[in-house]
Amino acid sequence: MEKDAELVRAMQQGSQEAFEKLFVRYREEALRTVYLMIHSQADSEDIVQNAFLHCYYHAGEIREPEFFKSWFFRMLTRMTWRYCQKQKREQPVEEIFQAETASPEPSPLECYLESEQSIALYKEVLKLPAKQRMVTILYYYNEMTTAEIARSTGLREGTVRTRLFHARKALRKALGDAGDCEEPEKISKGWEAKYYERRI
Amino acid sequence: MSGEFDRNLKACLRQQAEEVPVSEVWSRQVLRQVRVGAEQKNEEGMFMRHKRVKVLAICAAVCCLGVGSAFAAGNGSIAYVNGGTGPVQIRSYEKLEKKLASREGNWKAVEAFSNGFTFTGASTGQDEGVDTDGNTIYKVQTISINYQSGAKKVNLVIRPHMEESTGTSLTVKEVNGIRFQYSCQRYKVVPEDGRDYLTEQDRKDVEAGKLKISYGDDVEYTTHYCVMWVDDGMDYSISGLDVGLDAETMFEMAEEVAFGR
Repeated sequence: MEKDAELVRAMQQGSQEAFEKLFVRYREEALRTVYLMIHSQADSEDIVQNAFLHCYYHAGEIREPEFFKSWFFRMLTRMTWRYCQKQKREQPVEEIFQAETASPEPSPLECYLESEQSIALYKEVLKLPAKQRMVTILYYYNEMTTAEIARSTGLREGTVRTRLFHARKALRKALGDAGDCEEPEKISKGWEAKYYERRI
Repeated sequence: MSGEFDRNLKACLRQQAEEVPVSEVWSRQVLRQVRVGAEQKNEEGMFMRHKRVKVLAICAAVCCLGVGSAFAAGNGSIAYVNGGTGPVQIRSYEKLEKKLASREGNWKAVEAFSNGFTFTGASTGQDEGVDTDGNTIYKVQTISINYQSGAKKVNLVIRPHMEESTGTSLTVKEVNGIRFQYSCQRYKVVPEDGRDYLTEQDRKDVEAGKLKISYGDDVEYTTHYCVMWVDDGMDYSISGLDVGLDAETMFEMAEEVAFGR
């Protein structure tokens, strides 16, 4: 499989095929990341589409092709953040889930309860302030380290850690979990940790 | 990652994410936009960057640049202009006049045209000119003013003049040193689902330059009418879809804006 760096260099030379390969490689994660943050399929598609078009038309801005994923998700995160800022009204979480939970299909009790717990937890994630929600999703879904999140969002790493701490605390409190709210450790090294180690 | 809570949260987000489908129609649309942009660059020397809006709005939005035209600006070429306006923000003509007066430059408009088109609203926006390397060459403010006469709608777009159009229009009229260009282009709108919606006649018309293809939700034919001109450092265009306005009518409308008559 071709590495990102090779595809990016080809794309910078005008290769649409290279762009298409990068698109296919990252479209799912990009779409699902944005969706988790804003919970709107249509708007997620718009944001991700704009991000990929920007990627193609501004390929010259990618100075280090080997860090393409970081560059791309940094841009995607900022586009998503701007979207969140523009929203005048936060849609009540109950409205979001109204259609989905209206008629749950029959299923084994265990699966049903697990699904309900998952929905309940995700509802609480959606209630988090946008800043906390964003770092939470990047940390737990995209499995980025706090250093990687800091680079993607333009925040200081300390700020990322603080937001994660408060997000976890809020979620635990909402779910009635009185467990330990220690600061999150760095999870297992992410996809570019070795590059960040070199840069540090 | 430590703790049951962290594992549950991770599992929760993955479970919710797995329910998000990646639509093949959407994927093809994204790839299509890149391909269309690249093809048009190869054919005409210009990118047209398409946003994800209804095709009819795209037709209206690009008219001020001259459909099928190419541009050159200063030392480099403008590859494409990315822009658009937001929803209607200005609902009274009095407010529009104040907005126009507050802008640098001579922004002209009318409240109503003598042929019955009357002001219904306006919105502001921005155009960004991008060169072949993807560098932003300029950003300018734009205003889009809506007019309506019965069921017909036209749009007057004004922005500072940045590029010289090197394309050709069907009909040209020069009055008092201002060159008015009229164009009338028929489009076939087709969905972006990979199916072939072109008839034999469509193919002939495309080859002859009588028909162009664009993308939208339904299959339909539509005709784009436009008159554009440059006046005192500002670009103007009046355009509409399926309004049936001939060159003479649109020239008269343009002259009302340019000369206040």
